Amino acid sequence: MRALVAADRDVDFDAIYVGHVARLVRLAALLGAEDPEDVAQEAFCRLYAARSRVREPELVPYLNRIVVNDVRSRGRRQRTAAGKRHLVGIAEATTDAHGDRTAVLAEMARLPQRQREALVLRYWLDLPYNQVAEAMGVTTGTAKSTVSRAISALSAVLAEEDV
Amino acid sequence: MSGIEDRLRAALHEAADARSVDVMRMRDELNDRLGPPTRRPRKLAALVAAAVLAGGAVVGVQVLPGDGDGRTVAPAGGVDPQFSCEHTTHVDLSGGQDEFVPDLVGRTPAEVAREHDAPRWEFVEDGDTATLRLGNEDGTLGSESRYELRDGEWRLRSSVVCDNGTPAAPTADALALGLHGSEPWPARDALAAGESGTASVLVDDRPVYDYSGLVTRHRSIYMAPCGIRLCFAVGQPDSGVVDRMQTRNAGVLGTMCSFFQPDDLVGRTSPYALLVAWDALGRTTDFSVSGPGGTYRGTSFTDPSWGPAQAWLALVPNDGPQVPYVGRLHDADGLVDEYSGPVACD
Repeated sequence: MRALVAADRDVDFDAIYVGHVARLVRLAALLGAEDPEDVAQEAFCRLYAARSRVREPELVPYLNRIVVNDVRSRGRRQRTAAGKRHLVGIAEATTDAHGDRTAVLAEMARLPQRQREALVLRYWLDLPYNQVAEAMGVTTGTAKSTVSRAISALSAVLAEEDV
Repeated sequence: MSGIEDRLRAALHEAADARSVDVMRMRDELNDRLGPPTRRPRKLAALVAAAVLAGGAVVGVQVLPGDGDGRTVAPAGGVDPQFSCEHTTHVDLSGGQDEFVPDLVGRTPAEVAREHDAPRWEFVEDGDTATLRLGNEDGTLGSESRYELRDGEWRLRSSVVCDNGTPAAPTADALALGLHGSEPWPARDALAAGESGTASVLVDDRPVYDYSGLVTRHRSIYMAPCGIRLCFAVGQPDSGVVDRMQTRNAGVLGTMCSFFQPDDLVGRTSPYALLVAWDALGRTTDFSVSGPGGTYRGTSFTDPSWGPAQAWLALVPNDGPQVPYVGRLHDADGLVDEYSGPVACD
């Protein structure tokens, strides 16, 4: 197992940054961050500070967890009401040509933060439940039940809209 | 999977793809934030150096968003999502070659791009699939490789590269000797063909297809008398004299085939052949070669250090050993020498 850093640490760090930053920006955006780029930058600042300790197989889970935690804590600081938080500029649920995407995202934005995290990690990053749990800092069982509850809630509200 | 899961997955992917990320700008900002130790990482410096060596502007790395259907938009600074080269080929990934295997197991897209000196590249993820595009300085696409996420790693599935079956990358007026868009390598060290005080002259410089489908290199050809021979040096500065043709007073010397060394030594045949004539007294006035495709006018080369001597070179299509050509060397009084036969390279 090779640590991220050795004699060539800047090269490795740079390659990791280029390879992962876009994904992290998008992850932060989907989780509802007001400034997803800043969240991603912060994640890499922390990775840089911890670079001697993080090993390659842990890299992606490490970055995912930093982003999830950061978005969560920024949300708390801003005291943003969950029902008013929107994802990536989605304003209202609609039923026009792009309505399904808009409606789904808008309703997801109204879910509790942990349920949104579970959905994004599971259905955008396609993570297995154990890695969803790792990113969220919960047990695998909790991750499964959180995803299940979130899907149920989403199904119910979207079914109502579809009627 | 339930319908709501499908809808949710589609919505998340569309929303993610709609977000553009300017990786270069963000990296610069991060470098400012981290301070001097990570400013100008060596990997970036290597990319910049490669771009400068290739004679072009400094370019960078961008990861760009998809548009939902064609997946990728390529603003200035990116890589075109579509091939603009005339011919492409699927790379043999079964182990039959190792010149271009852009796998990502144990390495990053940036490392693959650097290995192939790609001036531009982008890596676009789409759920459990991803695409790595390597681009030339002008943003044209050189190769497109597709990956599938399995066991946490991107597994190479297919790769398509620009390839016309020869080392010769497309260039305007391909049968004209001279410069074809790049600054030639300098005629010094290994590329200096001259001996005994004779200087070498630049014959040609033209772009070459790498196995990656990129046009990141070029070959220079220099020529000079070397004793009783005419010597040709071909390649990059780490190459040298590759062909020597015995001279005579005035006449057609033969065909020079080492046009793209070292590429034409390993299975990629040059689409061109060079018919060479020599005139020790400098009295000839014209050299032309006729074949099925027409008549090709030769170009004369000389240098003050050669005395009155001049060489004539005519570039013709490499049509194979069965196709007859006729080369005629004239002076003011008429025909000096005539060659009849193939002008072919294998």
